[in-house]
Amino acid sequence: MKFIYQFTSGHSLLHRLDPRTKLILAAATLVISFLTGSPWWVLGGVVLVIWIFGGTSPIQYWPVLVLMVPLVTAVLLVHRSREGLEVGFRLAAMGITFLGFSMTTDPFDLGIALYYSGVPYRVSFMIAFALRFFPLLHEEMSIIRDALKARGYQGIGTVALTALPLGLGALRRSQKIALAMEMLGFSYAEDMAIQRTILKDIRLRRLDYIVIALAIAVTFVVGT
Amino acid sequence: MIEVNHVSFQYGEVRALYDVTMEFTTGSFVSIVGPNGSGKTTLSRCMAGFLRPRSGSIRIDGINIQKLRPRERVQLVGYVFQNPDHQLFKETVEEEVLFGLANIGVRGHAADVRVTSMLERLELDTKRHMHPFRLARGDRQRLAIAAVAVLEPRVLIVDEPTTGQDPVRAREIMDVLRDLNRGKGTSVIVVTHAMDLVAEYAVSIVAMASGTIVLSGPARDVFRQAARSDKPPISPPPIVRLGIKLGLDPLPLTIEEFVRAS
Repeated sequence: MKFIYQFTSGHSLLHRLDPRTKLILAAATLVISFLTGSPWWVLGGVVLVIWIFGGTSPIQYWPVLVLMVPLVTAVLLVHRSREGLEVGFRLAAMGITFLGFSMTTDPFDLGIALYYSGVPYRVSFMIAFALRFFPLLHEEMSIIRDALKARGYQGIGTVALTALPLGLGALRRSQKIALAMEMLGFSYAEDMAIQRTILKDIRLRRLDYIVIALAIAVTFVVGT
Repeated sequence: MIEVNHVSFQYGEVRALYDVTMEFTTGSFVSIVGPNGSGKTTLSRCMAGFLRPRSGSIRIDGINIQKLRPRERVQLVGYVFQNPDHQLFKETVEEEVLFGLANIGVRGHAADVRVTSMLERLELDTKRHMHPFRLARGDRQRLAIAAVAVLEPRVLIVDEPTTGQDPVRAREIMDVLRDLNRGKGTSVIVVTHAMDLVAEYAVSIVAMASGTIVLSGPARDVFRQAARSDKPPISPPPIVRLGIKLGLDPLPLTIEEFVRAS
Protein backbone atom coordinates (compact mmCIF):
# COMPACT_ATOMS: atom_id res chain seq x y z
CA MET A 1 0.00 0.00 0.00
CA LYS A 2 1.31 3.45 -0.89
CA PHE A 3 0.28 6.56 0.99
CA ILE A 4 -0.31 9.90 -0.71
CA TYR A 5 2.58 11.63 1.07
CA GLN A 6 5.12 8.96 0.15
CA PHE A 7 7.98 9.76 -2.19
CA THR A 8 7.51 8.67 -5.79
CA SER A 9 10.59 8.81 -8.00
CA GLY A 10 10.37 11.07 -11.05
CA HIS A 11 12.28 13.44 -13.29
CA SER A 12 10.32 16.65 -12.71
CA LEU A 13 12.04 19.88 -11.74
CA LEU A 14 11.03 19.45 -8.10
CA HIS A 15 12.36 15.88 -8.12
CA ARG A 16 15.70 17.08 -9.51
CA LEU A 17 16.21 19.85 -6.97
CA ASP A 18 18.52 19.34 -4.01
CA PRO A 19 16.45 18.66 -0.85
CA ARG A 20 18.02 21.74 0.77
CA THR A 21 16.67 23.89 -2.07
CA LYS A 22 13.22 22.45 -1.51
CA LEU A 23 13.50 23.16 2.20
CA ILE A 24 14.39 26.79 1.42
CA LEU A 25 11.51 26.90 -1.06
CA ALA A 26 9.15 25.55 1.60
CA ALA A 27 10.43 28.06 4.16
CA ALA A 28 9.96 30.89 1.64
CA THR A 29 6.40 29.73 0.98
CA LEU A 30 5.64 29.80 4.69
CA VAL A 31 7.10 33.28 5.09
CA ILE A 32 5.15 34.52 2.03
CA SER A 33 1.91 33.05 3.37
CA PHE A 34 2.42 35.04 6.58
CA LEU A 35 3.45 38.24 4.79
CA THR A 36 0.52 38.33 2.40
CA GLY A 37 -3.03 39.20 3.34
CA SER A 38 -4.37 36.83 0.72
CA PRO A 39 -2.89 33.40 1.60
CA TRP A 40 -5.44 31.63 -0.68
CA TRP A 41 -3.28 32.73 -3.59
CA VAL A 42 -0.31 31.08 -1.89
CA LEU A 43 -2.28 27.84 -1.53
CA GLY A 44 -3.30 28.04 -5.18
CA GLY A 45 0.29 28.79 -6.17
CA VAL A 46 1.64 25.81 -4.21
CA VAL A 47 -0.89 23.48 -5.87
CA LEU A 48 0.12 24.86 -9.30
CA VAL A 49 3.86 24.54 -8.57
CA ILE A 50 3.44 20.92 -7.46
CA TRP A 51 1.36 20.27 -10.58
CA ILE A 52 3.54 22.02 -13.15
CA PHE A 53 7.02 21.54 -11.67
CA GLY A 54 6.43 18.38 -9.64
CA GLY A 55 4.37 16.45 -12.18
CA THR A 56 1.70 15.72 -9.54
CA SER A 57 -1.83 16.84 -10.28
CA PRO A 58 -4.19 17.78 -7.42
CA ILE A 59 -6.29 14.74 -8.35
CA GLN A 60 -3.48 12.54 -7.05
CA TYR A 61 -3.78 14.05 -3.57
CA TRP A 62 -7.42 15.14 -3.53
CA PRO A 63 -8.17 13.48 -0.16
CA VAL A 64 -5.64 15.84 1.47
CA LEU A 65 -7.22 18.85 -0.23
CA VAL A 66 -10.64 17.69 0.98
CA LEU A 67 -9.20 17.33 4.51
CA MET A 68 -8.20 20.99 4.37
CA VAL A 69 -11.86 22.07 4.11
CA PRO A 70 -12.81 21.15 7.71
CA LEU A 71 -9.46 22.53 8.90
CA VAL A 72 -10.04 25.94 7.31
CA THR A 73 -13.69 25.89 8.39
CA ALA A 74 -12.76 25.07 12.00
CA VAL A 75 -10.24 27.91 12.21
CA LEU A 76 -12.76 30.27 10.60
CA LEU A 77 -15.42 29.26 13.11
CA VAL A 78 -13.04 29.83 16.03
CA HIS A 79 -12.00 33.31 14.86
CA ARG A 80 -15.27 34.28 13.13
CA SER A 81 -13.45 36.88 11.01
CA ARG A 82 -11.40 37.34 7.84
CA GLU A 83 -8.28 36.77 9.98
CA GLY A 84 -9.59 33.31 10.80
CA LEU A 85 -9.99 32.53 7.12
CA GLU A 86 -6.44 33.77 6.50
CA VAL A 87 -5.02 31.60 9.30
CA GLY A 88 -6.89 28.59 7.95
CA PHE A 89 -5.54 29.10 4.44
CA ARG A 90 -2.00 29.64 5.81
CA LEU A 91 -2.20 26.28 7.59
CA ALA A 92 -3.54 24.65 4.44
CA ALA A 93 -0.73 26.21 2.36
CA MET A 94 1.85 24.89 4.85
CA GLY A 95 0.30 21.42 4.77
CA ILE A 96 0.28 21.21 0.98
CA THR A 97 3.82 22.63 0.81
CA PHE A 98 5.19 19.88 3.02
CA LEU A 99 3.10 17.33 1.15
CA GLY A 100 4.77 18.47 -2.07
CA PHE A 101 8.16 18.23 -0.35
CA SER A 102 7.59 14.68 0.89
CA MET A 103 6.10 13.51 -2.43
CA THR A 104 9.14 14.66 -4.41
CA THR A 105 12.00 14.06 -1.95
CA ASP A 106 13.65 10.73 -1.24
CA PRO A 107 14.14 10.65 2.55
CA PHE A 108 17.67 9.30 2.12
CA ASP A 109 18.54 12.18 -0.26
CA LEU A 110 17.41 14.52 2.49
CA GLY A 111 19.63 12.66 4.97
CA ILE A 112 22.66 12.97 2.69
CA ALA A 113 21.93 16.67 2.04
CA LEU A 114 21.72 17.31 5.78
CA TYR A 115 25.00 15.45 6.31
CA TYR A 116 26.69 17.60 3.64
CA SER A 117 25.32 20.64 5.45
CA GLY A 118 27.18 19.72 8.61
CA VAL A 119 24.58 17.70 10.48
CA PRO A 120 26.29 14.68 12.12
CA TYR A 121 25.78 11.50 10.07
CA ARG A 122 24.00 9.68 12.86
CA VAL A 123 21.47 12.50 13.22
CA SER A 124 20.91 12.98 9.50
CA PHE A 125 20.56 9.24 8.97
CA MET A 126 18.13 9.04 11.87
CA ILE A 127 15.97 11.79 10.32
CA ALA A 128 16.02 10.07 6.92
CA PHE A 129 15.26 6.73 8.48
CA ALA A 130 12.36 8.10 10.53
CA LEU A 131 10.83 9.61 7.37
CA ARG A 132 11.43 6.40 5.44
CA PHE A 133 9.74 4.29 8.10
CA PHE A 134 6.84 6.60 8.84
CA PRO A 135 4.66 5.04 6.09
CA LEU A 136 5.44 1.60 7.50
CA LEU A 137 4.23 2.72 10.94
CA HIS A 138 1.18 4.25 9.28
CA GLU A 139 0.40 0.93 7.59
CA GLU A 140 0.87 -0.93 10.87
CA MET A 141 -1.48 1.51 12.55
CA SER A 142 -4.15 0.72 9.95
CA ILE A 143 -3.68 -3.01 10.59
CA ILE A 144 -3.93 -2.53 14.36
CA ARG A 145 -7.10 -0.47 13.94
CA ASP A 146 -8.56 -3.24 11.79
CA ALA A 147 -7.52 -5.73 14.48
CA LEU A 148 -9.50 -3.67 17.00
CA LYS A 149 -12.50 -3.74 14.66
CA ALA A 150 -12.06 -7.52 14.39
CA ARG A 151 -12.61 -7.63 18.15
CA GLY A 152 -15.72 -5.48 17.92
CA TYR A 153 -14.07 -2.36 19.34
CA GLN A 154 -15.30 1.01 18.20
CA GLY A 155 -14.55 3.91 20.45
CA ILE A 156 -12.52 6.93 21.38
CA GLY A 157 -9.91 4.74 23.07
CA THR A 158 -8.65 3.45 19.71
CA VAL A 159 -5.58 5.71 19.79
CA ALA A 160 -4.61 4.62 23.31
CA LEU A 161 -5.14 0.93 22.53
CA THR A 162 -3.14 1.25 19.31
CA ALA A 163 -0.16 2.74 21.14
CA LEU A 164 0.97 -0.48 22.89
CA PRO A 165 1.28 -2.82 19.88
CA LEU A 166 2.48 0.00 17.64
CA GLY A 167 5.12 1.18 20.13
CA LEU A 168 6.35 -2.30 20.98
CA GLY A 169 6.53 -3.22 17.31
CA ALA A 170 8.52 -0.08 16.53
CA LEU A 171 10.92 -0.81 19.42
CA ARG A 172 11.45 -4.39 18.31
CA ARG A 173 12.02 -3.36 14.72
CA SER A 174 14.40 -0.53 15.61
CA GLN A 175 16.51 -2.90 17.72
CA LYS A 176 16.77 -5.35 14.85
CA ILE A 177 17.58 -2.61 12.34
CA ALA A 178 20.22 -1.09 14.63
CA LEU A 179 21.89 -4.49 14.98
CA ALA A 180 21.75 -5.11 11.23
CA MET A 181 23.24 -1.68 10.54
CA GLU A 182 26.10 -2.26 12.97
CA MET A 183 26.76 -5.56 11.20
CA LEU A 184 27.08 -3.51 7.99
CA GLY A 185 29.62 -1.19 9.60
CA PHE A 186 27.37 1.80 10.28
CA SER A 187 29.67 3.24 12.97
CA TYR A 188 32.92 2.21 11.31
CA ALA A 189 33.82 5.57 9.74
CA GLU A 190 33.29 7.50 12.99
CA ASP A 191 34.93 4.85 15.18
CA MET A 192 38.02 4.66 12.96
CA ALA A 193 38.07 8.44 12.34
CA ILE A 194 38.05 8.03 8.57
CA GLN A 195 36.15 9.97 5.90
CA ARG A 196 32.74 8.47 5.12
CA THR A 197 32.02 8.18 1.40
CA ILE A 198 28.56 8.63 -0.11
CA LEU A 199 27.59 6.92 -3.34
CA LYS A 200 24.79 9.29 -4.32
CA ASP A 201 25.70 12.61 -5.90
CA ILE A 202 23.65 15.14 -3.94
CA ARG A 203 24.80 18.72 -4.39
CA LEU A 204 23.55 22.20 -5.13
CA ARG A 205 23.61 22.82 -8.88
CA ARG A 206 22.96 25.90 -11.02
CA LEU A 207 19.24 25.13 -11.11
CA ASP A 208 19.19 25.05 -7.30
CA TYR A 209 20.88 28.46 -7.03
CA ILE A 210 18.40 29.93 -9.55
CA VAL A 211 15.41 28.56 -7.59
CA ILE A 212 16.84 29.78 -4.27
CA ALA A 213 17.45 33.25 -5.76
CA LEU A 214 13.90 33.33 -7.14
CA ALA A 215 12.41 32.21 -3.81
CA ILE A 216 14.31 34.95 -1.95
CA ALA A 217 13.34 37.56 -4.55
CA VAL A 218 9.65 36.68 -4.44
CA THR A 219 9.69 36.68 -0.62
CA PHE A 220 11.36 40.10 -0.65
CA VAL A 221 8.86 41.51 -3.18
CA VAL A 222 5.87 40.23 -1.18
CA GLY A 223 7.42 41.54 2.04
CA THR A 224 7.84 45.04 0.69
CA MET B 1 -22.89 -20.21 2.86
CA ILE B 2 -20.04 -17.86 1.94
CA GLU B 3 -20.57 -16.15 -1.39
CA VAL B 4 -18.05 -13.89 -3.10
CA ASN B 5 -19.66 -12.40 -6.20
CA HIS B 6 -17.63 -10.66 -8.90
CA VAL B 7 -15.41 -8.81 -6.43
CA SER B 8 -12.81 -6.38 -7.76
CA PHE B 9 -10.48 -4.20 -5.73
CA GLN B 10 -7.73 -1.68 -6.48
CA TYR B 11 -5.05 0.00 -4.36
CA GLY B 12 -4.91 3.36 -6.14
CA GLU B 13 -3.94 2.47 -9.69
CA VAL B 14 -2.84 -1.06 -8.81
CA ARG B 15 -5.39 -3.78 -9.49
CA ALA B 16 -5.36 -6.31 -6.64
CA LEU B 17 -8.51 -8.34 -7.35
CA TYR B 18 -10.37 -8.77 -10.60
CA ASP B 19 -13.85 -10.28 -10.84
CA VAL B 20 -13.34 -12.87 -8.10
CA THR B 21 -16.26 -15.23 -7.62
CA MET B 22 -16.37 -18.22 -5.27
CA GLU B 23 -18.76 -20.03 -2.97
CA PHE B 24 -18.36 -22.29 0.05
CA THR B 25 -20.77 -24.13 2.24
CA THR B 26 -20.88 -23.46 5.97
CA GLY B 27 -18.40 -25.55 7.92
CA SER B 28 -15.78 -25.67 5.15
CA PHE B 29 -12.03 -25.70 5.76
CA VAL B 30 -10.57 -23.71 2.89
CA SER B 31 -7.02 -22.65 2.07
CA ILE B 32 -6.36 -19.64 -0.12
CA VAL B 33 -2.96 -20.11 -1.73
CA GLY B 34 -0.88 -18.42 -4.40
CA PRO B 35 2.34 -16.50 -4.92
CA ASN B 36 3.10 -13.19 -3.20
CA GLY B 37 1.00 -10.36 -4.59
CA SER B 38 -1.63 -12.72 -6.00
CA GLY B 39 -4.40 -11.05 -3.98
CA LYS B 40 -4.87 -13.61 -1.21
CA THR B 41 -4.69 -11.17 1.69
CA THR B 42 -6.69 -8.51 -0.16
CA LEU B 43 -9.46 -11.03 -0.83
CA SER B 44 -9.45 -12.18 2.78
CA ARG B 45 -9.60 -8.57 4.03
CA CYS B 46 -12.50 -7.84 1.70
CA MET B 47 -14.25 -10.92 3.09
CA ALA B 48 -13.65 -9.65 6.63
CA GLY B 49 -15.11 -6.26 5.72
CA PHE B 50 -11.89 -4.26 6.26
CA LEU B 51 -11.65 -3.37 2.58
CA ARG B 52 -14.61 -2.25 0.52
CA PRO B 53 -14.56 -3.86 -2.93
CA ARG B 54 -14.72 -1.52 -5.91
CA SER B 55 -17.44 -3.78 -7.29
CA GLY B 56 -19.17 -7.00 -6.36
CA SER B 57 -20.49 -8.26 -3.07
CA ILE B 58 -19.63 -10.66 -0.26
CA ARG B 59 -22.38 -12.44 1.61
CA ILE B 60 -22.20 -14.79 4.54
CA ASP B 61 -25.37 -16.74 5.13
CA GLY B 62 -27.12 -14.25 2.89
CA ILE B 63 -25.95 -11.17 4.81
CA ASN B 64 -23.93 -8.56 2.92
CA ILE B 65 -21.00 -8.01 5.29
CA GLN B 66 -20.22 -4.55 3.88
CA LYS B 67 -23.50 -3.29 5.28
CA LEU B 68 -22.68 -4.30 8.85
CA ARG B 69 -20.90 -2.24 11.49
CA PRO B 70 -17.73 -3.82 13.00
CA ARG B 71 -19.56 -4.80 16.19
CA GLU B 72 -22.25 -6.60 14.22
CA ARG B 73 -19.72 -8.16 11.85
CA VAL B 74 -17.52 -9.93 14.43
CA GLN B 75 -20.02 -12.69 15.13
CA LEU B 76 -20.39 -13.34 11.43
CA VAL B 77 -16.74 -13.20 10.37
CA GLY B 78 -13.58 -13.19 12.48
CA TYR B 79 -10.15 -12.25 11.20
CA VAL B 80 -6.77 -13.17 12.67
CA PHE B 81 -3.90 -11.11 11.29
CA GLN B 82 -0.54 -12.56 10.31
CA ASN B 83 1.44 -10.81 13.04
CA PRO B 84 0.05 -11.59 16.51
CA ASP B 85 1.79 -8.52 17.93
CA HIS B 86 -0.56 -6.29 15.94
CA GLN B 87 -3.61 -7.64 17.74
CA LEU B 88 -2.70 -7.92 21.42
CA PHE B 89 -3.91 -5.00 23.49
CA LYS B 90 -4.34 -6.10 27.09
CA GLU B 91 -2.22 -6.75 30.18
CA THR B 92 -2.96 -10.45 30.64
CA VAL B 93 -3.86 -13.40 28.44
CA GLU B 94 -7.23 -13.67 30.16
CA GLU B 95 -8.09 -9.99 29.63
CA GLU B 96 -7.03 -10.32 26.01
CA VAL B 97 -9.57 -13.06 25.35
CA LEU B 98 -12.21 -11.24 27.38
CA PHE B 99 -11.69 -7.95 25.49
CA GLY B 100 -13.70 -8.87 22.39
CA LEU B 101 -16.52 -10.39 24.44
CA ALA B 102 -16.83 -7.21 26.50
CA ASN B 103 -17.00 -5.19 23.28
CA ILE B 104 -19.99 -7.16 22.02
CA GLY B 105 -21.73 -7.04 25.38
CA VAL B 106 -21.00 -10.55 26.73
CA ARG B 107 -20.09 -10.12 30.39
CA GLY B 108 -20.12 -11.87 33.74
CA HIS B 109 -20.43 -15.64 34.11
CA ALA B 110 -21.19 -16.24 30.43
CA ALA B 111 -18.01 -14.44 29.43
CA ASP B 112 -15.90 -16.27 32.05
CA VAL B 113 -17.15 -19.64 30.82
CA ARG B 114 -16.30 -18.83 27.20
CA VAL B 115 -12.86 -17.45 28.11
CA THR B 116 -11.95 -20.48 30.23
CA SER B 117 -13.21 -22.89 27.60
CA MET B 118 -11.24 -21.16 24.85
CA LEU B 119 -8.04 -20.95 26.92
CA GLU B 120 -8.29 -24.66 27.74
CA ARG B 121 -9.00 -25.56 24.12
CA LEU B 122 -5.89 -23.68 23.01
CA GLU B 123 -3.79 -24.85 25.98
CA LEU B 124 -3.27 -21.35 27.28
CA ASP B 125 -5.12 -21.77 30.59
CA THR B 126 -1.91 -22.15 32.61
CA LYS B 127 -0.69 -18.82 31.19
CA ARG B 128 -3.88 -16.84 31.73
CA HIS B 129 -2.26 -14.30 34.08
CA MET B 130 0.84 -13.72 31.96
CA HIS B 131 1.38 -10.58 29.88
CA PRO B 132 0.69 -11.47 26.22
CA PHE B 133 4.00 -10.00 25.09
CA ARG B 134 5.87 -12.36 27.46
CA LEU B 135 4.53 -15.42 25.62
CA ALA B 136 6.53 -17.30 22.99
CA ARG B 137 5.65 -16.43 19.39
CA GLY B 138 3.65 -19.64 18.89
CA ASP B 139 1.65 -18.96 22.05
CA ARG B 140 1.01 -15.37 20.95
CA GLN B 141 -0.31 -16.66 17.63
CA ARG B 142 -2.61 -19.09 19.45
CA LEU B 143 -3.72 -16.30 21.76
CA ALA B 144 -4.54 -14.10 18.76
CA ILE B 145 -6.67 -16.95 17.36
CA ALA B 146 -8.31 -17.51 20.76
CA ALA B 147 -9.14 -13.80 21.12
CA VAL B 148 -11.07 -13.84 17.84
CA ALA B 149 -12.44 -17.40 18.00
CA VAL B 150 -14.00 -16.73 21.43
CA LEU B 151 -16.44 -14.40 19.66
CA GLU B 152 -17.71 -17.54 17.89
CA PRO B 153 -17.83 -16.13 14.36
CA ARG B 154 -19.49 -18.29 11.73
CA VAL B 155 -16.43 -17.80 9.51
CA LEU B 156 -12.88 -17.52 10.82
CA ILE B 157 -10.28 -16.13 8.42
CA VAL B 158 -6.65 -16.62 9.45
CA ASP B 159 -3.87 -14.89 7.54
CA GLU B 160 -0.64 -16.90 7.32
CA PRO B 161 -0.85 -18.33 10.85
CA THR B 162 2.22 -20.55 10.54
CA THR B 163 4.72 -18.01 9.19
CA GLY B 164 7.86 -18.04 11.33
CA GLN B 165 6.73 -21.09 13.31
CA ASP B 166 8.69 -24.31 13.61
CA PRO B 167 6.94 -27.38 12.09
CA VAL B 168 5.66 -28.63 15.46
CA ARG B 169 4.15 -25.24 16.41
CA ALA B 170 2.76 -24.81 12.89
CA ARG B 171 0.92 -28.14 13.20
CA GLU B 172 -0.34 -27.19 16.67
CA ILE B 173 -1.85 -24.02 15.23
CA MET B 174 -3.44 -25.90 12.33
CA ASP B 175 -4.78 -28.50 14.81
CA VAL B 176 -6.43 -25.66 16.74
CA LEU B 177 -8.08 -24.42 13.56
CA ARG B 178 -9.23 -27.92 12.65
CA ASP B 179 -10.67 -28.38 16.15
CA LEU B 180 -12.63 -25.15 15.79
CA ASN B 181 -13.83 -26.28 12.38
CA ARG B 182 -14.88 -29.76 13.46
CA GLY B 183 -15.89 -29.05 17.04
CA LYS B 184 -17.82 -25.83 16.61
CA GLY B 185 -18.68 -26.03 12.94
CA THR B 186 -16.84 -22.78 12.28
CA SER B 187 -15.96 -22.27 8.62
CA VAL B 188 -12.19 -21.74 8.51
CA ILE B 189 -10.37 -19.94 5.71
CA VAL B 190 -6.58 -20.05 5.98
CA VAL B 191 -4.36 -17.87 3.81
CA THR B 192 -1.01 -19.61 3.59
CA HIS B 193 2.07 -20.59 1.61
CA ALA B 194 2.67 -23.80 3.57
CA MET B 195 1.58 -26.34 0.96
CA ASP B 196 2.33 -29.39 3.13
CA LEU B 197 -0.10 -28.06 5.75
CA VAL B 198 -2.64 -27.19 3.07
CA ALA B 199 -2.49 -30.77 1.81
CA GLU B 200 -2.85 -32.14 5.33
CA TYR B 201 -5.61 -29.89 6.66
CA ALA B 202 -7.58 -28.14 3.92
CA VAL B 203 -10.67 -29.73 2.43
CA SER B 204 -10.87 -27.17 -0.37
CA ILE B 205 -8.25 -24.99 -2.03
CA VAL B 206 -8.54 -21.67 -3.82
CA ALA B 207 -5.41 -20.90 -5.86
CA MET B 208 -4.91 -17.28 -6.88
CA ALA B 209 -2.60 -15.52 -9.32
CA SER B 210 -2.56 -11.87 -10.42
CA GLY B 211 -5.76 -11.02 -8.55
CA THR B 212 -7.91 -13.81 -9.96
CA ILE B 213 -8.83 -17.35 -8.99
CA VAL B 214 -7.01 -19.77 -11.28
CA LEU B 215 -7.90 -23.05 -9.59
CA SER B 216 -10.44 -24.03 -6.96
CA GLY B 217 -12.10 -27.11 -5.62
CA PRO B 218 -11.33 -30.14 -3.43
CA ALA B 219 -7.64 -30.32 -2.44
CA ARG B 220 -6.92 -33.45 -4.50
CA ASP B 221 -8.46 -32.03 -7.66
CA VAL B 222 -6.59 -28.73 -7.33
CA PHE B 223 -3.25 -30.47 -6.81
CA ARG B 224 -3.86 -32.71 -9.82
CA GLN B 225 -4.76 -29.73 -12.01
CA ALA B 226 -1.73 -27.79 -10.74
CA ALA B 227 0.54 -30.72 -11.56
CA ARG B 228 -0.84 -30.85 -15.12
CA SER B 229 -0.45 -27.09 -15.66
CA ASP B 230 2.51 -25.68 -17.62
CA LYS B 231 2.71 -22.70 -15.27
CA PRO B 232 1.25 -23.97 -12.00
CA PRO B 233 0.20 -21.19 -9.60
CA ILE B 234 1.06 -23.51 -6.70
CA SER B 235 3.57 -26.23 -6.15
CA PRO B 236 2.02 -29.35 -4.57
CA PRO B 237 4.06 -30.80 -1.71
CA PRO B 238 6.60 -33.53 -2.64
CA ILE B 239 4.47 -36.42 -1.33
CA VAL B 240 1.56 -35.30 -3.51
CA ARG B 241 3.84 -34.88 -6.56
CA LEU B 242 5.21 -38.37 -5.96
CA GLY B 243 1.67 -39.75 -5.72
CA ILE B 244 0.79 -38.08 -9.04
CA LYS B 245 3.95 -39.46 -10.71
CA LEU B 246 3.08 -42.96 -9.48
CA GLY B 247 -0.51 -42.54 -10.65
CA LEU B 248 -1.95 -43.32 -7.22
CA ASP B 249 -5.70 -43.07 -6.87
CA PRO B 250 -7.00 -41.66 -4.59
CA LEU B 251 -4.17 -39.18 -4.56
CA PRO B 252 -2.41 -39.26 -1.18
CA LEU B 253 -2.11 -35.87 0.54
CA THR B 254 0.00 -36.99 3.50
CA ILE B 255 2.77 -39.49 4.16
CA GLU B 256 0.31 -41.69 6.06
CA GLU B 257 -2.09 -41.72 3.11
CA PHE B 258 0.81 -42.45 0.77
CA VAL B 259 1.92 -45.43 2.85
CA ARG B 260 -1.64 -46.77 2.89
CA ALA B 261 -2.08 -46.21 -0.86
CA SER B 262 1.16 -47.88 -1.86
